[in-house]
Amino acid sequence: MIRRILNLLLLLAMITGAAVTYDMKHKAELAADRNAKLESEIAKDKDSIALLRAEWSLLTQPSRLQALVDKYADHFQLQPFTPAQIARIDDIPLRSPAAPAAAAAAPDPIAGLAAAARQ
Amino acid sequence: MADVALPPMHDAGALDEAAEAAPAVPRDDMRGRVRLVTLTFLLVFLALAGRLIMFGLTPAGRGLADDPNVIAASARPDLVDRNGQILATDIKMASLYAEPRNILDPDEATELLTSVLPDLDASELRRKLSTSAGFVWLKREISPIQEQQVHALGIPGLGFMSESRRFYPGGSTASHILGMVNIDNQGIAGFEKFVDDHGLAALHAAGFASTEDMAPVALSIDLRVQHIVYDELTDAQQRYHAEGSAAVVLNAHTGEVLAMASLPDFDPNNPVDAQKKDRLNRMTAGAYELGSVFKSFTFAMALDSGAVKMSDVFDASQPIHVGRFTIHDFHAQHRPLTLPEIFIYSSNIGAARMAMKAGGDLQQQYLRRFGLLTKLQTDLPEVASPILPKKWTDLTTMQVAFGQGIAVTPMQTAVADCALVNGGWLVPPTFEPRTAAEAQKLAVRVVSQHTSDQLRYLFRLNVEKGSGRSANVPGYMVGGKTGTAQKVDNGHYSANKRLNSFLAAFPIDNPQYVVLVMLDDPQPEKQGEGATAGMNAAPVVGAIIRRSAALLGVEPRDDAKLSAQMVSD
Repeated sequence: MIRRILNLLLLLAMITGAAVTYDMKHKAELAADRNAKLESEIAKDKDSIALLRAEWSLLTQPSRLQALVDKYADHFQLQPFTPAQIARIDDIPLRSPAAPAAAAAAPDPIAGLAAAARQ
Repeated sequence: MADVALPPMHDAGALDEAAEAAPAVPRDDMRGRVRLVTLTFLLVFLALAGRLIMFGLTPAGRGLADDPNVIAASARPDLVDRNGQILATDIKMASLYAEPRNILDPDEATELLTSVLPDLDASELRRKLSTSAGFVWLKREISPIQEQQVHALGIPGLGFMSESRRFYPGGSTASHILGMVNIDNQGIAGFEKFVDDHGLAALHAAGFASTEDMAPVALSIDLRVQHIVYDELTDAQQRYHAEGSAAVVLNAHTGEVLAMASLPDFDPNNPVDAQKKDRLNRMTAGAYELGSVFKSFTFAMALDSGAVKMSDVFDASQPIHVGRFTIHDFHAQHRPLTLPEIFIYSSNIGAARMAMKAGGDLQQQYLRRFGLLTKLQTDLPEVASPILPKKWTDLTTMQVAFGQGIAVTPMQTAVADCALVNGGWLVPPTFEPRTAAEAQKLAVRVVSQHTSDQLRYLFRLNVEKGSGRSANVPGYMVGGKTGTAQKVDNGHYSANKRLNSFLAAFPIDNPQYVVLVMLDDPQPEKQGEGATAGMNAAPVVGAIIRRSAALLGVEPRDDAKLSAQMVSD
């Protein structure tokens, strides 16, 4: 009797064991697949980052920017700056008390240009 | 249940007895055989189990080598400028191929493909796809978007291979610095070759190089300044119809090359022209007789050795005759000249007399010290050796004093000029970033601080009053020396073929950068005008400094005040 119960228990344990192992193995396979997929995605993303960086440097080439500046120089009234226009922050005098009112009254030329460009 | 069904005689004890009873097979022998069989089976199953565990533990191999669709081109590190802007990078490009054998309907495939890749020739494509070949390239290096579109067509028998390709976003802007790579992505010229020669090639041979884990290599170049130099040189080349031109911007204290260009050049993305004879890097790979620029070194030698004092006066009223050779002045004053006058009028006679007073031995000694008699050591592989006179006679001494009879690379003179203005320290040039502390370790004193101060004064004087006026940029205190050399044509100095150069430093009261521009055989801008260095090379230097000084972090100041200060010093 005891022997039969023992056999039965062992059989049950074997079936459970097999089921658990199978499940584990299956999960591991799924995880490995996911891992491989993620890895290939990372590789792809790295490639596209490299491509985008190349494109960025292509778009920010000084020669391209210069061509753009030349093209729109008239529209935005652009001019190369002169050494006389470079100053330290300490060189700028403090604002006089009367100035804010005058500044508020005068229209901002740059903002005006930007608004005109948008229309 | 089984226990009950079995007859009692079939129990184990009975069996043993029966076996014991049979005399043909001895009991011990049989047990041994059973054990042997058991052991064998056990071992086999153990081996199988062990192998299974091994398979379970090793992850499936997935590397570059296992992927048949990646052509293993050797990966290279990115090259970036001193601010991290990309100068050269690897990009993966897909190439489209077909297996015509597996294509069911060539006509349909052709129609679909030309809808996505309109630049493919339809009839050619149909012919290619109609064969029974196993493999044919359709289009190399297509964009990722096109790859996606072709993929979406779902035509069987088409495939992609990805290839690494070197890409230079700046095109020809820095071609002579960066050099180029061959079809296998190996560096064959310029800095690319330098990278290969310093470890990358070994890495490739060992199979360790992949794009992901290679840190970008930084250069000392500033892409913005490089563009300015390239742009100004291109302009000058056209304006003066020069045969060739070259320019360099050096950090006067660290020897770093901020920008260097040589025209005509090539596009490293498609270097079909690179092997042409006139595409050499004139800055380092060409040796030239640079003319009056060399007077700077004559002055440095004469003043530093004490052979000549600033207050000395030399007679320049008559040309010097040596054998069949006559030394003239271009801007002849026909009177005795003081040292500063010799410098700003660029008197050949005066310079020759100064060199003679110091002597040929001393001259050679100093030129060697300036690094002008030996081959320049730098990162780029393309470097020419100077061409020196065979015998150093008195005539040689006089000629070399004003830059004839000795051909050196323009880069060498720029490097030596750094030493003249930075307080007397010669620092080897580099294309890699270098700190002031590192430079100090490499620096060799070639002239005294006092000589350097005197030369800075002369350089400034020449821009204020002499031939270099058009290089002046208000606010940046430019100082420099022009050189209008006659080119050797058929073994004689030609009267109308020139090699013009301007060697400048700024701001001259404490020089940070040295700029050298050289124009090979420039023509007058307008008919009837002259074409001396002061009229073409000097304004190019001025333009480069005007545009790049702020980017280089040089603060503009009031010139007049500083000039007065320098003179009083």
